[in-house]
Amino acid sequence: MRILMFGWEFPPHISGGLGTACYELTRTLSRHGNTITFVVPRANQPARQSPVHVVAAAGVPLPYPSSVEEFFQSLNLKTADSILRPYLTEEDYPLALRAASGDGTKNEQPSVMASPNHYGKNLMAEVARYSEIGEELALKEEFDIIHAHDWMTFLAAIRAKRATGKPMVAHIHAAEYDRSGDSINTGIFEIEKMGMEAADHVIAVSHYTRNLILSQYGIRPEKVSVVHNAVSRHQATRVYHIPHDRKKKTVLFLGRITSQKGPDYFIEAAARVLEKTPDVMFVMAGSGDMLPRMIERVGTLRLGTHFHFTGFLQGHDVERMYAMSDLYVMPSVSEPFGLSPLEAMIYDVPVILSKQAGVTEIMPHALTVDFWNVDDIANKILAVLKYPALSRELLRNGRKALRSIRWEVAAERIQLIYNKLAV
Amino acid sequence: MPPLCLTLHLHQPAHLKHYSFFDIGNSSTYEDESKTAEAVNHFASDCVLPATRIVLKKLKEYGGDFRIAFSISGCLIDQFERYRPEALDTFKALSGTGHVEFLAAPYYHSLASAFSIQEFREQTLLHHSRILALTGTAPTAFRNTALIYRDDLACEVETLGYQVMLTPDSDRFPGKRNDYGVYRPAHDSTLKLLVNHGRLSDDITRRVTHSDSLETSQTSPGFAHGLHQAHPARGHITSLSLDLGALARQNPDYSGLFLFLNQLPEIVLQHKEGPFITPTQAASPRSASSLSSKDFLSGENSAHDLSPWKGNEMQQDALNALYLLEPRVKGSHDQALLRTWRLLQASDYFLSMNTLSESFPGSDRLTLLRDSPYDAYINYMNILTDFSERIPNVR
Repeated sequence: MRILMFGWEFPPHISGGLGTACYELTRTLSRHGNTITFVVPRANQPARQSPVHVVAAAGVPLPYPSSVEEFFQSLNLKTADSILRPYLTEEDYPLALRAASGDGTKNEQPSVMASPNHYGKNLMAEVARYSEIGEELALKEEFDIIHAHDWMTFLAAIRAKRATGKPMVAHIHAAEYDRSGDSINTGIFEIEKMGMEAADHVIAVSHYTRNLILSQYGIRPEKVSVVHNAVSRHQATRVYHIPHDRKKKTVLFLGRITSQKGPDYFIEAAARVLEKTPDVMFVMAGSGDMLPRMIERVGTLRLGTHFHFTGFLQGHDVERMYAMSDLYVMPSVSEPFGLSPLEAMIYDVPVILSKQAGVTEIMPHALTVDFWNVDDIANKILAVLKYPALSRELLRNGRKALRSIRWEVAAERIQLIYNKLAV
Repeated sequence: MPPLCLTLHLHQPAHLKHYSFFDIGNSSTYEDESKTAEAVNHFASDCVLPATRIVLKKLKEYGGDFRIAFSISGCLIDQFERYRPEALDTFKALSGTGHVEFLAAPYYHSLASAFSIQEFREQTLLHHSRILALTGTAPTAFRNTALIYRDDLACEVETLGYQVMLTPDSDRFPGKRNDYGVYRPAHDSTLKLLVNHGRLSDDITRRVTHSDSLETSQTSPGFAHGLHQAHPARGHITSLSLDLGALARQNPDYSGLFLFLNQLPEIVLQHKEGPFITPTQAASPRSASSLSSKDFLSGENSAHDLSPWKGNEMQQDALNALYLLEPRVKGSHDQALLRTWRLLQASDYFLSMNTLSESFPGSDRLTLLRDSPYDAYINYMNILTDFSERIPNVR
């Protein structure tokens, strides 16, 4: 089958889980004999060796000038000033464009506040432009199915569908309700809803997300399937021999430092843990709008000597970080899926997960907590540090479970959906 | 037809409270007493009292033609004494009929037989005295926790003075086929081994928990037919063991169990499938072939060894940590500490740390006691850490 796939990022230009998921899905779907054209906003460098034809939307000439304003008017969007809110990959969020916006000069030394900047300054404008290109491309390319990943690509997919009449799949990796809780950006919400309504089928990355789609977006249940994400062993080919001070344990938070990810609960739990044992180092890896506040909080609690803020990490640094850690904690307030705990487990790091994480549906061998229950998070961190049999048992069972969590399985399920739609 | 020996097994563990790492050193209360009381009250009102009333009625109705055995854990007796003393009156009444045998067992439904023979002995004697005090009769038959067997345990049980020991199905013994009846240990011994008919016991449990599939007509030979099917050979003994505690957790609707108890005597006697006997009667002198196992066997469904309780590292760690405390606990000569240590030995806690997904009787205790096996382990280890810190250090 020929798939026209709309995404927002693709390796090596990724800032988190969405890019990884898109790469793995296209890789495995290609093996099923699908030809995939993957459209990203821009491709600065050729993507890594891939059977997928990656098209950069930036290279497609538009027949008419983009009219962002018209878009937002027609969509009844409130404003385009939501630049900080919207992005939204799984793991890393470009911090409040503080560094990029200013006067255009760049710091020589990347600060801990530095963020990946794969996005334009005005995200909504870019989304709008991207959607116009969607229609252009759709008319040029030959394909059977349109598959769009997350709201940024939905307008493009809708236009492509309208122009060609081909069936459309909307794939929800994260919904606005996950990212923002009750203070949602209604513009994004509207685009998500519109995309899912226009789609012939909706894929949710977890039952957790599916429930949200049904309850908050009112999508018909029969139209929404769950396809869980997976994790690849090849994502952990490198072996790191990190000199490890066995006495001092390392507890890791890795992700966007935004309210959705619950970094504040991590810090409060750390404070409780340190009441009981001093031999722990807490690492907060990532960037996000809450980072300054988090650094301040650690200072107020006088925990500076037990805390390390790495800033945004990618590639091998992420792998090294996992390899150095004794425990990974993900206290997310809302987490549609959450790929990183599976990655942590590949590096033999046990995990504590928020019960509000879709990944718990497929990974029973993790400790789970209510994100707001700081005492319980601390209790479980201490248990992992003090009772070594717990880590060993979690990892032994986790390794077994990981074997069946494969992208091939996800691709097979998506293929079935394609087959139905293409009839 | 072969005689039928039916044993009802009753046990409920003490419910442990949620015990955080931050409670260590601050709280020496480990039991959630209100939860235990609630479970015991339900168990007594919904299951034990009505069931024993039926049994009592049938015993009176059939005289000595209907007999039955009870195996009640010491901790449950204690719980009944505290929360539902009338249940103990019922047991006394049952004993008074002269047609009921009460079995000895490790008091705290523990795995002491696999970890400390000394503790195993003490718990068995403790239970022995409790049953003697309750029923006025000294037990002569022994049922280990989950029917756990090993050759050296048989020696121990014999030394303790019992005539018969209940064991798992004979086909769990190396080199033995599925055959039921009475055996003896391989070594020179007067002890008899009464092997459980696991398949039929499970079948009945299944029927009883899904009462719609149980024969409802009193004249229907369904159950008797089942007996035939299960054990067509003559001259042996069919020993059935039903775990009422497990039934209670699997299906809070006991109508199937009550129907079964109501119908059993008539069906069995009418179809001449009986007579009913008790374990000690089964052990009355008769020639018996030998059974032997150098390794631990159990009556669990999922695995025939001890792996349901000590198959993973958490379970092994918790069990080792617990039994390592024995010399210190006993050296302290502190009765309260000793009792707490023994309460913590209930096998249920280790079963709740089982991470295998296979279902086996009792796996429902997982959800009963804690969220997940990992949570169960954390909670237990926090408690054990606190407990360990409370034992005075003696040189």
